[in-house]
Amino acid sequence: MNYSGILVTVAPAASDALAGTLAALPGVEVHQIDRASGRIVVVQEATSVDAETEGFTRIRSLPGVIDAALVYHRFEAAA
Amino acid sequence: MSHHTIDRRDFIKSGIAASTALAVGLPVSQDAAAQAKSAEAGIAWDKGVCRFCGTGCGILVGTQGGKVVATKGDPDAPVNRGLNCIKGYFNGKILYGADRLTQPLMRMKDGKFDKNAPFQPVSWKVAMDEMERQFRKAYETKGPSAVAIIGSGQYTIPEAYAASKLMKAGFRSNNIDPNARLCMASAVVAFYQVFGIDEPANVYADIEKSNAMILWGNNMAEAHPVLWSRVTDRKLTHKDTKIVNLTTCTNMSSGLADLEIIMKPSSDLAIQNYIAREIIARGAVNQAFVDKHCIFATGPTDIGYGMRPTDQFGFPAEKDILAKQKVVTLDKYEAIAQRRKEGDKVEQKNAGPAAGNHWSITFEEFKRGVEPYTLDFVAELAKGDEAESLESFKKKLVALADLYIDPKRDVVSFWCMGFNQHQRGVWVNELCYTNHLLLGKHARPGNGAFSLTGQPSACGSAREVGAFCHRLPSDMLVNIKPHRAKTEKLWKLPENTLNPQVGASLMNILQGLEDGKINFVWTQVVNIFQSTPNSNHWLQAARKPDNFVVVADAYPTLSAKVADLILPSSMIFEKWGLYGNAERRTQAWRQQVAAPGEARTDVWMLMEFSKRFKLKDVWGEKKIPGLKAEGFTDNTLPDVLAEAQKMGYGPDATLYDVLFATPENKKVAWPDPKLRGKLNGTAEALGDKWFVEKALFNEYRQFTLGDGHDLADFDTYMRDDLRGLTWPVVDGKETVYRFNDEFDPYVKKGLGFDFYGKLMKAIPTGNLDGVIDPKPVPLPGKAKIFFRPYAAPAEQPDANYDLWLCTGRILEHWHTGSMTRRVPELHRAAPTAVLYMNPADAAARGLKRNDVAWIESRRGKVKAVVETQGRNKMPKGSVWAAFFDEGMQINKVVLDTLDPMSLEPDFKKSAVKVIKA
Repeated sequence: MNYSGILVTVAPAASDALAGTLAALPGVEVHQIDRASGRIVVVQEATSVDAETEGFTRIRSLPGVIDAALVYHRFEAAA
Repeated sequence: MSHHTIDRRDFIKSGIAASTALAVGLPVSQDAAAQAKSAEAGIAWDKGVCRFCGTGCGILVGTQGGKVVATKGDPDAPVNRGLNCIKGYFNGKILYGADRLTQPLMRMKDGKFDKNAPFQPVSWKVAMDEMERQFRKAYETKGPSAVAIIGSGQYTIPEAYAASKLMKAGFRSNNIDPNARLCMASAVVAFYQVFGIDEPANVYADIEKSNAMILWGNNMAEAHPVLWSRVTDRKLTHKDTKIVNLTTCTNMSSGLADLEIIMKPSSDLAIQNYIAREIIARGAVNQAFVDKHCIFATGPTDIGYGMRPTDQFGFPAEKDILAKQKVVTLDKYEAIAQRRKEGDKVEQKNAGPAAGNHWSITFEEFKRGVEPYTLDFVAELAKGDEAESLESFKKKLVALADLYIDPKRDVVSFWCMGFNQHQRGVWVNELCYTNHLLLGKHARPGNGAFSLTGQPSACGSAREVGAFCHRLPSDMLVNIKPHRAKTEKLWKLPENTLNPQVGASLMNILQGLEDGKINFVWTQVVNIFQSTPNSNHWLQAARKPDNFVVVADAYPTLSAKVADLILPSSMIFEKWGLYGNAERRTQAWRQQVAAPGEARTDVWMLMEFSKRFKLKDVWGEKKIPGLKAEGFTDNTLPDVLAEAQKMGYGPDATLYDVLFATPENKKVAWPDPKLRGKLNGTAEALGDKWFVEKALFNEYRQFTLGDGHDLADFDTYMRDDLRGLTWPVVDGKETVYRFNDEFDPYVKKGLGFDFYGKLMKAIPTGNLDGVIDPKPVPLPGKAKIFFRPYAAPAEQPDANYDLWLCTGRILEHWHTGSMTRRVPELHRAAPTAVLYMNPADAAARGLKRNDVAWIESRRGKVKAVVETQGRNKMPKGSVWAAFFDEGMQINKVVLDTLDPMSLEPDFKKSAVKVIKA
């Protein structure tokens, strides 16, 4: 299992709306929303490298997402 | 909350969320911080550097039980401040791909090497025995010119240094050239010609100091995502910041841009000249700066396209383009731009080494050069989207010039492959400096022309160490006698051991395999048969019976598949290393884990190979066809064995003893008495108890001291509290802005600026048409403001091949995908690679989204899936493909013209047709 901590940057006013969109994605949990700066911390869980990459690309290309940066990666033997 | 009440996955995820927040400075509760810590219990963290693009992000590497289990953006790294892009994720993952190579593989039949047999596992001894035999066959029959190493911008500094020293000092061959030739050679020549010294003056921190950032053919959002995050943050927090994206298609960087300029291929040359013309016309030249610190210069325009002078090896369909190496018929725009007549047939008299000649001109001549580049002319030539009106395009060009010229604007221009992989890559690099210098907006905080780079140590290893066929360490060149003399002194070599003849550049090495001049090639940290243009030629050449190709790599890349011998390499955190990034920052890491199976470091392979050769094998008289240099008999390297004997080296001493395991180096002990770090794959396999990487780095460092390239010592870079230093490092202090007396210790206070680079600093005098007085005039401390005209691309769409093809990189894959594509999906039968097309172009060819199509050029054809939406939106007439995909080797189709000065290929301007498959 792969886990990624991802920092998503959005327009501050759109923080809650985007947080909702993000939370609906497969394997994605929203953990923290900083409404003042439009920064959202999400954790993505994926079973393969491909799924991880596709998930990140999907987040980055969501309408309203200005930037998405991976911050943390952790790999665990199959869970 | 008790940790026992939630399951382990939730526990890990909460910990990751808190660590993520902490890394980027978001507030978290004490509880969450404690949870982040306990979720990481048992993981040992150490500093590391991302091994992918040239940005040079710091990462923290987490190991547990002898494996890398986690990585995170390093909050203390000034480059990325805790951030990472998707490729950061692969730093840990790449070590553990299912098809990782763990033992040498050789083509074998009946227990012997057989070029036409399949690969079988062999021992290191068998592998190296055959490698030695094949090397000797080429070296002893044809001499040092018949062997080559293809190196890498992903070399660590010690790797580049060891390979370079072995080839140049040991084998007396300058045939070592890195894949960095493919990505930044044009940038280097421009640095040499303009400043006399390689690498940027500015630093990434300019992003937070600038209020106008101009991207020239640099899709930063995909190619340098962490820099893009910084640009994004600047734009969002400083509303007045303007971003311009000059590009040949709408891409991910366009989203944030205030101004998107869709231009035609090569028209960047014309747009730069338009800006220069505007600067002069509006009286905006920073006269004080220019008078004190600059001169004006130009060079020949009839320089060809870096192709071979013969079409003997060309496919029949290639011959019309190959002919342009000799004669070019000027089109309408090129004629105006060069003050000639349309239809003139111009013999390319300065093709070859003369292409780099240049001479000083007056400001009046410079002004005359840029005069044709009016708004009307440049707009007509450069507009790249037929759907856009000329008026709209003109407004954008004016707005671009406004941004550069506005005295309230702090301007940074960024570029990477769009400029460098360009038939006139050196020219267009130089034109960017021209405009920044005219305005005095260079080498100052927030102002500068900034050449980015594509590989993690293209700067630190390939460029600074000089692992090129024409270079020696610290911006010295093989064909300059005092440079060889300094190198021979530091390397303790007899006089004239070093070969004064420039070796084969990367594309020449591949051509050498094709035409039989080179028979032995060893590739390291590179997937060259996928990454070079017009690859059908080189794939066939590798398999010619007389050639022996050794590929050292961690995975079975396309190059490994066409090799004769595959050597399994250790990867990034399985070895000690240092990288240098695009802002002159040298960064280091310790070995974190052991390499799998029998994989070994490239440094170890070089050491082991060097043990197999004695001085009498290599330092006797050697024939070098074409060698002509002062102090040398033509075509000959002298016998230096007698001189070596006087220096204490007997003829039976090995290259290992003489070049590497010297008495000084063997004093650098492993285990290291002071440094943290228990693993050392090189030292353990070598068994000689010396710390090879450290000794070689400190030896190399001697080249850098005292002439503007100064590096700190190995132990300094390994310090836990340090995240690299930007050179020159003088008295322990890094230099932020070079050439600027406020920052650079090499500039005398009060001078303001001093462009103190030493190369090419005495040139003749002339006018736009040529040299008038050949006597070289010295110009110490000056930068050159070049006039360089527009030149038309060698191959352009015509009735048969009717579309432009541009290639490039995408966010989630890197380069040839040898590390980011280690997934089974790669080998699916159906093509997955994508060709981006305008919907109208697709429809006109009976294609729609997700159809499979052939992409065909004069050189070959490949299949791809048509994509009319998504990240790249093409203007009509242009298509785009990424080059990472082994399933679609787009380089079979791509034209292999080069910049004639830098010998870097242009991957961006091929003519193709697209047909429904």
